[in-house]
Amino acid sequence: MTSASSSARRVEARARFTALGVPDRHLEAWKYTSTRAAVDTPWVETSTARPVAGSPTLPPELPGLPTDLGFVNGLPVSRGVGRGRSGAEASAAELDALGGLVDLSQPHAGLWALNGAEHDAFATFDVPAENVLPGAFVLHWHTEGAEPLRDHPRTLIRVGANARVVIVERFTAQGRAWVNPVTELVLGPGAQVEYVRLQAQGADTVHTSAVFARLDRDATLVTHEYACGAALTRAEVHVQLAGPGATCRLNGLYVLDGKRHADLYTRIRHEAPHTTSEELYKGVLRGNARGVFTGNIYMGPGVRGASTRQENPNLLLGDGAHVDTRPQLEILHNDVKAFHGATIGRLDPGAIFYLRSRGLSTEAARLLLTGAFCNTVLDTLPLEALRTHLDAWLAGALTEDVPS
Amino acid sequence: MADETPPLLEIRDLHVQVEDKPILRGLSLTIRAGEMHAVMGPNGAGKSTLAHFLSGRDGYTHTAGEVFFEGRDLLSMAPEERARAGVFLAFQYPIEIPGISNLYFLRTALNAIRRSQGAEEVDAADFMKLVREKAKLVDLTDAMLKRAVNDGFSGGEKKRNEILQMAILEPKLALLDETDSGLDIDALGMVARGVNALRGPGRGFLVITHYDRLLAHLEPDHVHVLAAGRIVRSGGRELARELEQRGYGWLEGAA
Repeated sequence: MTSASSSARRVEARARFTALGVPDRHLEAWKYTSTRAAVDTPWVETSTARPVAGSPTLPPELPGLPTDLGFVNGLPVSRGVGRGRSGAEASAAELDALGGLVDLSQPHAGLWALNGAEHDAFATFDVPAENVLPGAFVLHWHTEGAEPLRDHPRTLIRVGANARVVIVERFTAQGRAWVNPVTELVLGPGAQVEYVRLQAQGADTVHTSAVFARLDRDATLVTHEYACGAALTRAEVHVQLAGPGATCRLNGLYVLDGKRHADLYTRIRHEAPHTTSEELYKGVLRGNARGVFTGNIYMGPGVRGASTRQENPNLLLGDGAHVDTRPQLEILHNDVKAFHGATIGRLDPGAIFYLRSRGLSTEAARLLLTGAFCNTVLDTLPLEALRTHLDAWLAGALTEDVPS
Repeated sequence: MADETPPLLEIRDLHVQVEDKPILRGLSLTIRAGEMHAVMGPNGAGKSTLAHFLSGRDGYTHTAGEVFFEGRDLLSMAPEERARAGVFLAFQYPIEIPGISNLYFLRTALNAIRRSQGAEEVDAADFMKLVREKAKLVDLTDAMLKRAVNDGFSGGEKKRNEILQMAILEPKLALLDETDSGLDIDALGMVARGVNALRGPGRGFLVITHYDRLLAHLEPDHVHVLAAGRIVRSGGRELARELEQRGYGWLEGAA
């Protein structure tokens, strides 16, 4: 289904991408991440890709997390328990709402615009007011083709007043792929949302994502960002605390090895009094991996009683590993609380000795301490099934040997 | 007839430096299975160096002398090999490890030691039973067992947790490094109760302390005074009481 406004929006997005192109290091917000190598590949947009014989199917769902909507190369392939809709079934109102939180006038909006111009179907889900959803609403996006594919998953979720939901967006890819999702989350008054992003993709993939959330009065959003698989990751979370008493907690974990590069970018706008934000992003960097964290906080002039707390501890385990961490606080009101702390360190030799004195090998001690460092992020996960999945992922990520 | 089994621990004329500074200067000490020895001494005498060095910590230079554990050259063994052979150090300042529960840590350590001895890993149910039983010795609750290792524990809770680890790992030789420091009277009683429960014919103890108050609960078989890097006097339990009354000054000349 299309509407006049959605067609106009695609045209506008196309024009904007043509003007901006793919962001690169000349932009302040992309200072530490080069997209040059990614851009060099002759990508084929999923909307124009040749069909593949025995067309790819969705990988199996995660135990305990049944898929609600599954997409392969941008098109819906499966419906699970019937929650949510794909774009073809969307109402005119939903089509009109799409893109409402994405400000394409920003200088670094190139990839958001590309998504807006190129996405096929999209996923949408309206959670009615006062509803409490059991389990999780799970979206699964899979990208796979004979040629290098560029895929643009697009999601709009609107959560009504006082409704509660856990949302999981899972991204998988096979072969060469550039996955460029944009997700919009609209939270009504008092809504409580946990939003989890699982990015399990091969070393041939580029993952550039942006999540935009707007919170009305007393709404709470907790995000969980796990950057693990892709060769190059740029994962952005933009939160607008628009109503008084709105709260967001942003959690993130990046565990990188080999030559992987992950750039975690967060921007939180406090626009109302008594809004609260907390961030805990942790990084483990092995081999020659490179990590970047930006914590951009804006506290506007009318935000009496607002508070923000940001922590970004990093563990450097490889001699060639490197991390850049950037707290960016812009505070225009006196009556606020703001804390930020970033650390870059190695494992504590005293703690390694303590564990060895209890019979653990040096290697086992290092692994246990690195796992402990990560666990304080995993401990924030909302569902046991997610914890089980990510524990297994972490165990693999910490022991895998990747050429540096 | 002479006892032909080697002593549990035999330290012969040990010299150890930290950077260029000699700390232990000809220390000799023999501990047999079943015995508890206390080493007392003023600050700076080398008490903690002795404990750390025996457990294999970095930062110490061995310049002369030998240490044998059950006849094996202890100093050629890595810290984890010493632990697996049955040497346990109760730390003066136990390390906090946020993100790992006490239970997980204890089970990992126990299994590391069991595997090295060719024994099967302990299963979760048996392990819980074992931990609950041992935790009673030092009054550690289930809630504390589930908390991260020493994270947010009081000084006394940390020391009780060390004794719990010792009770679960069942070492042959236990080194207690100023385990009594910073304990209130109740925690001291719990720690002493835990240690006493572990005494037996197969196990030796080296209790390092500045004060007599823990020894009053433990009744060691031998008491030694360490001053300026060597044992300057040895005796029985009465020596500790004498030190408590007279201080160390009268002995330091002997060094």
